[in-house]
Amino acid sequence: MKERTTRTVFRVFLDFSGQEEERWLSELARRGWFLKSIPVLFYRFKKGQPGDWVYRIDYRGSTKFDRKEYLGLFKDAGWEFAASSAGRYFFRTQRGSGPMPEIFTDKDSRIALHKRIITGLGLFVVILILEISNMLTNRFPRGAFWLIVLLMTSAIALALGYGLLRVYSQIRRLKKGQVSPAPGNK
Amino acid sequence: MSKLDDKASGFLPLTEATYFILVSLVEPCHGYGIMQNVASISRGAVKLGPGTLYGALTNLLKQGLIERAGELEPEDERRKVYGLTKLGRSVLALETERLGSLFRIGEESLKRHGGKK
Repeated sequence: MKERTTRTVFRVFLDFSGQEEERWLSELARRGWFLKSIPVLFYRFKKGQPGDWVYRIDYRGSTKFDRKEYLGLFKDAGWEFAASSAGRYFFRTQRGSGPMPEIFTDKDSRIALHKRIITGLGLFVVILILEISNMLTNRFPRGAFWLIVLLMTSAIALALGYGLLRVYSQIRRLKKGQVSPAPGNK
Repeated sequence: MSKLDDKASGFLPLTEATYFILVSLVEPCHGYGIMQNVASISRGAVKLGPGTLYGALTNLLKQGLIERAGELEPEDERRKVYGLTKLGRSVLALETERLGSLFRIGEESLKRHGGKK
């Protein structure tokens, strides 16, 4: 039997700060699966040498920026660009014996990252809430279909809202100094 | 206080990362050079991650404290070179003065009250 060299995984994370995702990707690298691309809602991996890799995710949003310079800076700093999707940039680097490598090394830049995430997601939540209120007020034919769409939209809005709250509380903890600005430096 | 200093004082205090970046840009330099310079002048104590550095450079450009300073290495187009503006230099000078006077006050009072390092 021929061994698989790529695999595609469906997975949704409600931790929008990206930390759970980073840990999951590192775990997969330890088993020899390396993130290659991110088709919407999926993660595609390619097989490689299992190793101790650290993943970090930056969120740039939809603002215009010099992508070549940006990726070049990460490369110079020893980070390999893995994939990007919807304004999110995934990087990895080999975990050495020193302190945990980080792409954000102070409190202010970590807070700024979380604020960018909230701005990006906030727009989705607003759109969903408008959609829900539209469904409730307009004269839509109220049948089973209407109910299913309404419930699904509400579930997504609630999940996003919950994720947003978690990012907010992360910002609060960063401001109060309850989390180390570089979470890996412990 | 000159008008420039007046404007510059509005940017104080600086974060440690911003201070180190401005210090590094006393001579025009690209992002990678800033990272290396910060590690070397702080004797490895301060490490500037690429995400933190990129965000800071973007902000400093927007605030007019730094500017694109031509291409020192034209063959290397992905490494953009930055330098301090007049305003940026004034901010750096004011912050250095402020930190210096804080340092002197702290040192004196620790000495007077038998503070140990």
